[in-house]
Amino acid sequence: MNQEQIQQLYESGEINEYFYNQILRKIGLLPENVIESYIDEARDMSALGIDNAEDQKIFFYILLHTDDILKCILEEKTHFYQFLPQISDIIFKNRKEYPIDTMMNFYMAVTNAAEQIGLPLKKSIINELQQMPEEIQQCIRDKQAGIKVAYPQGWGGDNIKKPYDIKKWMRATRDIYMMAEDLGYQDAFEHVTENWDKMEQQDYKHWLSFYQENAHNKYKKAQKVYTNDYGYVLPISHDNLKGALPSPIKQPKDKFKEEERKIRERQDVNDARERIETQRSKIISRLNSAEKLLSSLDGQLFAGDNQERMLELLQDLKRRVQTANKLRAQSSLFEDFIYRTANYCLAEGNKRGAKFFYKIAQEKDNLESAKDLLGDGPDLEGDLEGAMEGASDMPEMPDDIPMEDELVVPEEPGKGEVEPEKTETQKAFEEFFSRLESGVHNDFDKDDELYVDDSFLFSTAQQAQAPPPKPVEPIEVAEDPKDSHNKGTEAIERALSSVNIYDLINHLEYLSAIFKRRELSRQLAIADLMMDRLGIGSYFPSLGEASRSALDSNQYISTRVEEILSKIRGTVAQDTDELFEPEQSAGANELGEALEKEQEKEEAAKERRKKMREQKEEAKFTKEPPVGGAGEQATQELAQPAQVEQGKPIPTR
Amino acid sequence: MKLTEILNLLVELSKEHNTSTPYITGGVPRDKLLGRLSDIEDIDITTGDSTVHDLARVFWEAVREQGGDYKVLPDGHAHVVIEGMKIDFSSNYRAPGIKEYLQKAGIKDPSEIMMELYSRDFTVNSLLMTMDLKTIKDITGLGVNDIKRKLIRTNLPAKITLTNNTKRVARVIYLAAKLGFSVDDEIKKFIISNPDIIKKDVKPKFLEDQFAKAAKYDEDKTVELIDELKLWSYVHPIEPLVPYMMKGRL
Repeated sequence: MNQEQIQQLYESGEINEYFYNQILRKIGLLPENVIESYIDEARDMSALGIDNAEDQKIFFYILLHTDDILKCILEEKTHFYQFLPQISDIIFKNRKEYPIDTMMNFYMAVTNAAEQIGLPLKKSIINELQQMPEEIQQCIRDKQAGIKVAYPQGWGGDNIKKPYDIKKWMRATRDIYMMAEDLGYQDAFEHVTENWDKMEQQDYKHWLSFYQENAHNKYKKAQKVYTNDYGYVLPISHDNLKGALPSPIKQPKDKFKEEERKIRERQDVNDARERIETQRSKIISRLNSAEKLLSSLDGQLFAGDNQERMLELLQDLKRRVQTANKLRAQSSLFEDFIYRTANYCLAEGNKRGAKFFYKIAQEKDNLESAKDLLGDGPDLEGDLEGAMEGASDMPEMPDDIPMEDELVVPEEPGKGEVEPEKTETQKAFEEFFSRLESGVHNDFDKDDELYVDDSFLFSTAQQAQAPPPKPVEPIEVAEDPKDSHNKGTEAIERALSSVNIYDLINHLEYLSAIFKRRELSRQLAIADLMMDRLGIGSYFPSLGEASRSALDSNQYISTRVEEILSKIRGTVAQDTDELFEPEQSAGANELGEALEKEQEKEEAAKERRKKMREQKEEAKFTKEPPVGGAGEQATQELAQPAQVEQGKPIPTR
Repeated sequence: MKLTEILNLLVELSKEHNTSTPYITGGVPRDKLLGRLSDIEDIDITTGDSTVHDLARVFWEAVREQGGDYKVLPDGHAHVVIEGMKIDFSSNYRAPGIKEYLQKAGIKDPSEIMMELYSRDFTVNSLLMTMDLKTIKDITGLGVNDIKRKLIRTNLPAKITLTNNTKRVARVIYLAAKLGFSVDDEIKKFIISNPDIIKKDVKPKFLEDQFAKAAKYDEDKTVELIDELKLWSYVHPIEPLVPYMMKGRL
């Protein structure tokens, strides 16, 4: 075949322009028999009206898949291959009425073509076609023809088969949930739906997620009736009832007992809380009295230079008692607060203050416990005398400052001795302490029922700790300043001698918790609210600045502490034995080494990153060819000669 | 980054992390012998054993700041794309029973790299190049000869190689069209007698891509091969091949 012959075919109308151009391109390139075969086909396709690539594509789709569909719809052992071109032609010609844009439509188109030719369809296909009511068939035809129709009337839809077997899906769901524990949900899903059709798999996935997301309950239906616990139907919701409904039905005894027990527990808890509240208010009032006393002239004389510090501690103590968790508290909590404050005073070297607070707590045995704390240190009472002597040198402190010994109830006059005349101050303090004693005595009795068994309450208030004490200031007494400094240093040394890594971690965790609570900012906000209430907020704009600074500093410190904590935690070995032997502080050296190694690694990584960044910067200024695939540069690099080492071939066949 | 810098970095990382010696394999040594360096699409790296996965990871960590992409593909191989250059790290695939097969063939103690090379698809893709780009090693002894003869041949019998990974059937046509090579008779015989194998476990999109790429390189060669292997029924109507699709061919 040459070009002239092809032209003749075109001019005679046997092939159209589209195929004429196609064939011209192939002449000389394809074998002769192929060209001839192509021309034959071009004639057929031209006759069908195929004159563009799209139609040609559709035609070949039909050729490709029609035989598979025919195998599905025709009776077995039907020979249809000789009819294949005819059927393909019919499908192609009817493609507007029976489009092949979807699998379903393609099936319909092939079925229609097979019916027209008279090929025997499978009985199930026939049954389906026959069962489909005429109205539905007409609807499908109309829809295919582009005629809009409403849904068919008077047809319940019972004959429409469900696309999928829901029971199979339910079984699959059960299997997936059973396997998910071992394999994980995704793997279980893939395993169960392994051999499923892709479309079914996707639909099943959507169906499953619809129910998993509870989308079927998304739109709340109006609820007009409610049932109570006993099965009665009521026209109103439970939430609207103010009282419990009586029930005529006798409940089993166990249920009543259970309910009674619950009610009793609730009452116990409420009682305990009430009693703790009462105790709290009593302590607050006592602390208020102590504060008044301490801030008076007598108080100043008593406390001396420590007055400010003691007042600060007292106010802090008061605040803590006021803001302690009201839901979860033990009755001994407030006692602990007071003891802690007393211990801080003792740690600061303010024994007078410590006794003051111990008195408030009304623990007379504390004198001995204070001695234990100090170890071999000077006798507390001896110190008192020394303080007395020192105190006498101070111009502002009168000689008659009442001390512990002097506050002891004097001997009865009946023994023949004359009572010494007491000063006003002494009387005032005696009265104060007696008031404290009488007021507290009944409340701190260990046998008191106030000591509630709160095992069912989760007490977290114990974790609340007072802020650490301020650095010790030298006391202005006639002692050698060096001695007091040494004592302070020794006390600190003793306290820190047994510290270990875990103490540090605990302390940092405690600090982190404090900063996370943002207590300072909260208290400032409360003060702001109070000012606003009193109408003086506008006169103190600096409070807003203070709040903001408090928040910023809080955040800054919290972040830094967290960083330190995570680093230390990361470098400490999680050896459980160590947890039970916290007194060993051997981990400090290893910790230091581990931290140093980590720092070196980080610096090496930083150095490497810096180097790469510099290289990148340099590369920006050097002109490099655009890289595609391996790049021109790579091409040049690969172009250098290479030696070939050939091994001995091994017979693998 | 230059290619030599990348290769040097890989060598350093390999020593630092005690992986086996890395080599370049796949298309690069083949195309170098053919003188087709402008066609290089990516650089394939292998160590012969599973340490190649560690090498891929540490390489990525070393270059991640320079941007690029790290991905592990479903067949187990990883690639790192950096500055337009794609570095493919072998999946370390082993054909089932390869060790016993090589022992029967006379190799008493086949090394890891030998087992990996024989598990690869074709002899022309089973060469190794050292990272300094100075030496090409043909451990199977078949690759260099087949490149000279311009022949696409499998390392193991075609039945084994093509059944282990059915994507290789379409790749026969693609490579033959790309390189202008002929196809070994054993491969042709196997495909003709098992035409369905071309679509077994293979997505239609993959087949379309391979045929489209092959037709782009050499349309006539592609058509010739499809004719010879009688694969028209499996060819989707893609643009360059539609004109060739005829009833007689289906």
